[in-house]
Amino acid sequence: MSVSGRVTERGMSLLLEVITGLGIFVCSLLFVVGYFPVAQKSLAWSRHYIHANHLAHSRMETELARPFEAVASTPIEAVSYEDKAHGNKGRADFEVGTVVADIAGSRLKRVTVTVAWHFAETERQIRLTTVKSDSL
Amino acid sequence: MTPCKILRHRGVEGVTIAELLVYSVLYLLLLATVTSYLIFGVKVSRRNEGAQKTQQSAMVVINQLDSELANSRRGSVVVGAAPTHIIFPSFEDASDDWAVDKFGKPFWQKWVAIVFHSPEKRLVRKVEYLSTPTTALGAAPPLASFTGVEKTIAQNVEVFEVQLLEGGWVVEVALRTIEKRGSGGSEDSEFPLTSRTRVRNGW
Repeated sequence: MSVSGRVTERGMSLLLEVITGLGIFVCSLLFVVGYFPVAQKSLAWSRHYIHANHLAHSRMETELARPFEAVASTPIEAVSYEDKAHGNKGRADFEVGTVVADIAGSRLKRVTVTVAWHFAETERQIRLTTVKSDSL
Repeated sequence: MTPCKILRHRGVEGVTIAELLVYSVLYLLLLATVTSYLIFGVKVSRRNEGAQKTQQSAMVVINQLDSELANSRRGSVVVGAAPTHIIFPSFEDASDDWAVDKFGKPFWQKWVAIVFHSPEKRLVRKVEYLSTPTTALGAAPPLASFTGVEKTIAQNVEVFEVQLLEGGWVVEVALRTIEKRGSGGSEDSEFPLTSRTRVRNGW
């Protein structure tokens, strides 16, 4: 746009164009910057998930190592971890439970380990299931 | 807009002082916003980087140990203190290959020691090969008898604890990695990870 313009020239003023341009730029900038907290939240989520996954795996390994007769359901147990990210202390609380059910007509037990936790106002859960044999 | 009209009357190309001032103020405001957001972004990025490093190094070590301990031998895993260490047999040879006899018993190739050097916050791995691979494994050698070159498998390890559970069938490894930044611990990142592994081999 020419700012000198002739009287017959049509279009927005330079000021209005600049303001519009800056507005679009700021909006796109805010959109990009908005991803920083998303990345942070995603990292926090992955930390929780790693803990939950290892808890479930560890509990399952422990159950499978026990003698067949000793493998039984356990009440829900609370487990907590404290970590630190760039100076900010964080805490993750989990509930771990094991449900063992006999499989009718066999010397087998179905073992289900559940780890539940709360993240971003939502209940999350990991569940591992396997079969324990009398001979293993 | 008024400035444009003034210019049109004069018939001169360019911008007025008033317009220039307005644009400059807008530009400065925008610059200040961008800078503050960038600083915020850099801070978040650094925070994530530190946290991610601790997380990754803990996972790498725990996963490696889980895998090796699972293939180890029940009754041959030894846990010791000062320095904290764990010794276990492995049937993988130098080229990560392995062999079994006609009954399916593995030929044990070496003893592996994972040692925690607490002052240096370092986890090292030592290997001592058996003179002859065997299916009849003897007692674990003491840590002092390991003569092989030690290899660092993790740095910035704050805590490393090992214990045998369920009569030696399960090995629990607890690890806490740390990434120090800034002064006074104000920007540190820490990640604890505990894992239990069932030792599969009874032969």
